[in-house]
Amino acid sequence: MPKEEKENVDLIRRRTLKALVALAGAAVIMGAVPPLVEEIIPPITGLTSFPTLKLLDENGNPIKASSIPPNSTNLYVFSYPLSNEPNMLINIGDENGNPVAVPPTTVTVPQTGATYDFPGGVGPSKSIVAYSGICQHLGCQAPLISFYPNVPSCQPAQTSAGSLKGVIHCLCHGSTYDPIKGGAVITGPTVRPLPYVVLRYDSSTDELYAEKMIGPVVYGHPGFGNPTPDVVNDPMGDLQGGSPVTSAVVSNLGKLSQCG
Amino acid sequence: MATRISKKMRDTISKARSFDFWAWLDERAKLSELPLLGTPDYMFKLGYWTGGMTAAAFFWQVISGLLLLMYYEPGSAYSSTEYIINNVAFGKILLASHLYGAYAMIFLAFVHLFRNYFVGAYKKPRELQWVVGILTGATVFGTAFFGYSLVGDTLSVDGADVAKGLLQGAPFGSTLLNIFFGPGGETAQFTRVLAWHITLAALVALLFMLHLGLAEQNGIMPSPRLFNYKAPAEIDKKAAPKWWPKNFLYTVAILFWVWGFILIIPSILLMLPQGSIPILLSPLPGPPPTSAAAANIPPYPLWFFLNVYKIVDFQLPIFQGGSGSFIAVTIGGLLPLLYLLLLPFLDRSDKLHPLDRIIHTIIIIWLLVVWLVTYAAWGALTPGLPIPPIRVAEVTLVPTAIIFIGMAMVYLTWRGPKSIGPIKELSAREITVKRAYASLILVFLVAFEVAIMAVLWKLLPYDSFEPMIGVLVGIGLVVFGEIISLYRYIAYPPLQGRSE
Repeated sequence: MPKEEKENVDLIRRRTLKALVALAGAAVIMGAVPPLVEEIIPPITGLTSFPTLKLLDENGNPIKASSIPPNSTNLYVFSYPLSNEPNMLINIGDENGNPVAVPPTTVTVPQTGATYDFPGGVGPSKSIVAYSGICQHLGCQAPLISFYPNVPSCQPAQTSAGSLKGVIHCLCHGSTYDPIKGGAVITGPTVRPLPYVVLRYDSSTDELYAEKMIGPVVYGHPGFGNPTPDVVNDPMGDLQGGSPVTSAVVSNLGKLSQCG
Repeated sequence: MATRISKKMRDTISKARSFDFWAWLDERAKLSELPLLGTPDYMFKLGYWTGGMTAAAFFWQVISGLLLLMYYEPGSAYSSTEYIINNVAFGKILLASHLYGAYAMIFLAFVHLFRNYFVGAYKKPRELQWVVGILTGATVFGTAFFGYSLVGDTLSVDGADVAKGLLQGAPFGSTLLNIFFGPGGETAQFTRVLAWHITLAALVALLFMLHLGLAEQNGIMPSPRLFNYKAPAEIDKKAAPKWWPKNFLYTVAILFWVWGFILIIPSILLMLPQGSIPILLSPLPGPPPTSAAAANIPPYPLWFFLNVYKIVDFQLPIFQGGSGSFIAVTIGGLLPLLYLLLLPFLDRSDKLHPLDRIIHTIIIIWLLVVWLVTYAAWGALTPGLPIPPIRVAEVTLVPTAIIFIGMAMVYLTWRGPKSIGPIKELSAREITVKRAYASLILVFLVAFEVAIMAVLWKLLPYDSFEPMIGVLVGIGLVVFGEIISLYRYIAYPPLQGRSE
């Protein structure tokens, strides 16, 4: 065989050899990488349905509804149904510190026009409500989002609709929600109402239970940006994307800065 | 115009056709100029790569350990371990392969150690390399102990408790106890043990780099035959072959082989019915220490601590009393370590043949047969059972006498090392035939590799096949290692094979 031709044959052989090795390498990567990727993705933990949890204080004793002061200047927060879903517990009151009954109403979602029924407040005066402590606009958490009590000692919220009291307002970008109307939007930039924790009041024991959530999915959980009529009436996304709490412990996070 | 375009296209095509990726890469990354030595053809045998295999197992440990770190919580050690096993995708295989990777690494390190004793690789100029290697080994043992203590099952908690008890008998015991296990409380202990596990693993990495650096500086120990069994045995670094790409390819092949087996073995064990594997070799943790089942578990340590564990059971007078266990561990564990550490300075002759170093060879064989194997087997058979001195003497002295008399007889009939001359090399014709076979096998293995991948994709999405997938991926890795190795032989045959 002439030298040149032999070199040509060698070149072809070498290329074939390299291609084969590359093929095997690709096969190894395609076989081994999917399990590896699956391993790194943490398993989805969560719940399949909303648990009913009694609200407890930090010592593990049940919270008595009649002992929650109206218009409290402290911030009360409990996680439900997942540990990364904080909610604010509020007893609505008037200027004189008397509880104000919160009536049932229908809440409309500005983003989609979907509606859902807000069951109203609970407790001896039907004045106790609990809203998600995570703003629906961009996810700022309590105490950045908080209730502005209707008492003289507290500053009003500075909203784009003026100075307001008795509202839930987020300091990050100025979203304002109405706790007496089921968390409905008062001012943007949010386009979704604040999710609501449906509470049940046991008048024989004066104890409170968290039963489920209603309204848009809590910010950051699956489907939160898409509040369709089905979702806002049964926000199953609240059950995913975190680890479930085993008890609903209400923590006192101290005095609200607008009241200090 | 048209001809110009077609000429340009022809040029581009021919350029693309002659494009060599590896040459391109080498021009940029200067891989061929790395300060790594190539080795002569006769060294492409596993016996010369025991260190490389140990390092490959170590790399697996680093990767699988970091993946486990994503899920392990020191605050709930046992339940997070259970979570990894039951909830994390492939968590069972990951955890089992981290355990078996440690087993493989320690086994290979022992092979590396004894192999290098017998070829005399601790002699001038490699004394420091040997010392660093022994220190690495000791650090590996520490890393393994802390890693095992992280699991939180019965044996792991027992092991940590025993270590705590031993430390209390040591000088400054309570301070050491605080340093290694924290001031008290489970979370504090597991957090600290995790920190030590990772810290010591990082130290292993540093020592390994030092060890490898010294190996590159001194060159790989050549066959002592070529030097008439006289130190210093050094290859001519200037005449040494290039590291890139032959040694690189073989290194990659070794890496995949070791990784493959580290995946295959525990995956097969995971497929066996539970309870059919002795607890000493179980790929998964046992019950927690607070469960009723814990009472039925024999108090085993890790298998590579079995020998020292048995020595603590010896009812010798000096092993009695408050610090007795600590003294037993010192004599049974630290004394052999000290001997190995000092070996290059105890044996300073230039003799490379093991029979020319008969005293040390007897000691090393004794350490291997009696200290390492016999005592460990004894520990496995009679866990935690106290042994009266007369039994200790029987079990120790009989094999010791056999070793001593046997070696003495071999030594007396031995007529000194034979000078065999250069290593036998294959003829060009033999190499051509071997290359042809290698090509055939390579084609077959590539097809096999693609078939494995196809089966894996067929199994998607994986549900209950996890150990099966571990086996398949493991086989895929071993086969790929073999493909690389065959490619190396075909593309870069021994020098005589290159006819021109």
